[in-house]
Amino acid sequence: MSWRDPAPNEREAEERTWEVVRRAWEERVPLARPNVVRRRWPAFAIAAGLAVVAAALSPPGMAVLGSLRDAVQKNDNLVSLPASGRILVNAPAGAWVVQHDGSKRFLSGYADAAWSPHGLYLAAARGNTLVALEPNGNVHWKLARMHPVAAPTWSYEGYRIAYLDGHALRVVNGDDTGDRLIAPNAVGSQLPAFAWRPGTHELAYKNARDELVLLDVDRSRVLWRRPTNGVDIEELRWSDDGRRLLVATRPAVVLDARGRTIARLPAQVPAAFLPHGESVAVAVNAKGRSSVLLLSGPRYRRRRVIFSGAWSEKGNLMGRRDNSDPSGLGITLNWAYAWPSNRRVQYATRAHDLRHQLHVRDRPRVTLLRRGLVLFLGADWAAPHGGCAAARHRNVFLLRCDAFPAKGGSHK
Amino acid sequence: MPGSSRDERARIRRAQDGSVADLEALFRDHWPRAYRAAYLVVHDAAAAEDIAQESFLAAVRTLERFDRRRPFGPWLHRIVINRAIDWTRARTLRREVGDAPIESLAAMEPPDNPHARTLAGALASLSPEHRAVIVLRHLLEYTPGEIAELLGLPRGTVNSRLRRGLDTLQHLLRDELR
Repeated sequence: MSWRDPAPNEREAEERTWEVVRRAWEERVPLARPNVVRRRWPAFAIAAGLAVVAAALSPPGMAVLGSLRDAVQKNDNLVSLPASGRILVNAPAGAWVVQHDGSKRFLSGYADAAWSPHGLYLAAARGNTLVALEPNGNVHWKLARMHPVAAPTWSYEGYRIAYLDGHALRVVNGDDTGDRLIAPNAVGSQLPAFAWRPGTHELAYKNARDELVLLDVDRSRVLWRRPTNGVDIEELRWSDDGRRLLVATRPAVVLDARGRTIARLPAQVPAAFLPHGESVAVAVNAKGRSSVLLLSGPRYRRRRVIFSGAWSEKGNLMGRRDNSDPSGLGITLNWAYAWPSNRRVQYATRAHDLRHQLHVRDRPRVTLLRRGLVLFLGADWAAPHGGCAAARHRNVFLLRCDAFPAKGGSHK
Repeated sequence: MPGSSRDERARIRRAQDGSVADLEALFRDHWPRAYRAAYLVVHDAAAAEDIAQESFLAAVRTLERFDRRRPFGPWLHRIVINRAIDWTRARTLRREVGDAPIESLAAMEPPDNPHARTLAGALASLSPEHRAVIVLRHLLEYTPGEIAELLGLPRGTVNSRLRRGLDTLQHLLRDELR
């Protein structure tokens, strides 16, 4: 073989790879260019500018800006976490493990990283490979597949990992043995949707025949299946006790553990079970008003409004769509957002500061807080059993942490 | 072959600004050498495609932060060669099971040229580390000093690997073509 001869399949591989590279390029989060003015200004000028801008802000905006100012003055956006423990953040170039003191370890090239239930290991995708590794980057095992791997998800105790191999849904044991095919096509035309039932090795997923299936993975036995009538499922979520399954369709549906419909919710997504309960919080956007309802009761007919927009003489602040940035600091003062003022639990900062640390891949959704009750709708939970959540809205990031264990248990 | 360094810098700048056409030109320029280098190290077309693809993806993910004063090729080749060496080592330690080998074999059509088979076969008998330096020297045309920098090795190590690798190749090819 001359050094100049083409290698086998070179041309076909080139075309396939270009398609992948092009898609990756188009889906990237563009890097915010450094603001030349900002680089040249001393920090006090930035702070002074922020203070002037802050004077014109509404109360919710002031809360955001206060956090931004904190971040700028400290010259680091993630000095420490507001609770003990660690946070895992998926970024475009890899995954970050952030310790409580703010120190970070970058795991380059890993995507869709997920904690094992006790936070001792991570499962992550790297191209066509499923990888189990420690938070310090030591790889425990790799499993090469024929298609791009995505969305590894641990079962409740870490003995099983469900993941996507291209469009196929597969499960492998936590020690890399027993890899098997669950469904040849679990993606369909839309997003993949699968979820482990808490406390079991039962996996709910949508198959290629438009059926929602609950499979006992260990016995390879279908527990129930029900047609979805071609409705796209954006997400499947179990309640913590495993007795309810929230099917995020349009509108969202709550099923019992046997797949029977309990309620159709008056909203689409985002919707989420409250921790340790079967009540569901839903965000409703109707008649120019944004509300969060807490639905409870046997048929979810009991409703309680726990948040309703952010109203001022200018109307619903959540409906604002002005993304102008007069300060040049990436602060869009008039964009849609309502932030409660409990700054002890929220960290917000500029997008380009946190770009490599926080990345929520989904569409921007509502993220709301209320004293004593925290809702993250559409945000990625970044740690098991509560922990931290990160959410992004336009160029503002929000990081919120509950108290959660600093150390994992004795299992995975 | 990649264009001049000035053209390349301009392409990278435009790609960083969001131009897909320039990104494609950059990709087309560098694909053949990246893929061939990976193939000559791993000797598996499917794996070479994966490695080259992952390398381009890694490069694309960080392209926006890439320092345009540096050449793009060595940066990419470093990723490709290191991944290819890692893959070959992992493959040696742990054979894949299941359906992967079948498809790998299907994808690995042997080249028609008998010389191609000969050289590829002879290269396959070397260790991945020796393959890598030979590919970097003779396919990608880096100097031993540049190879040392790319792989993070002492220059003497690179020279000795080159010498030993070429001696082995010469020996094998002489026997094959006799």
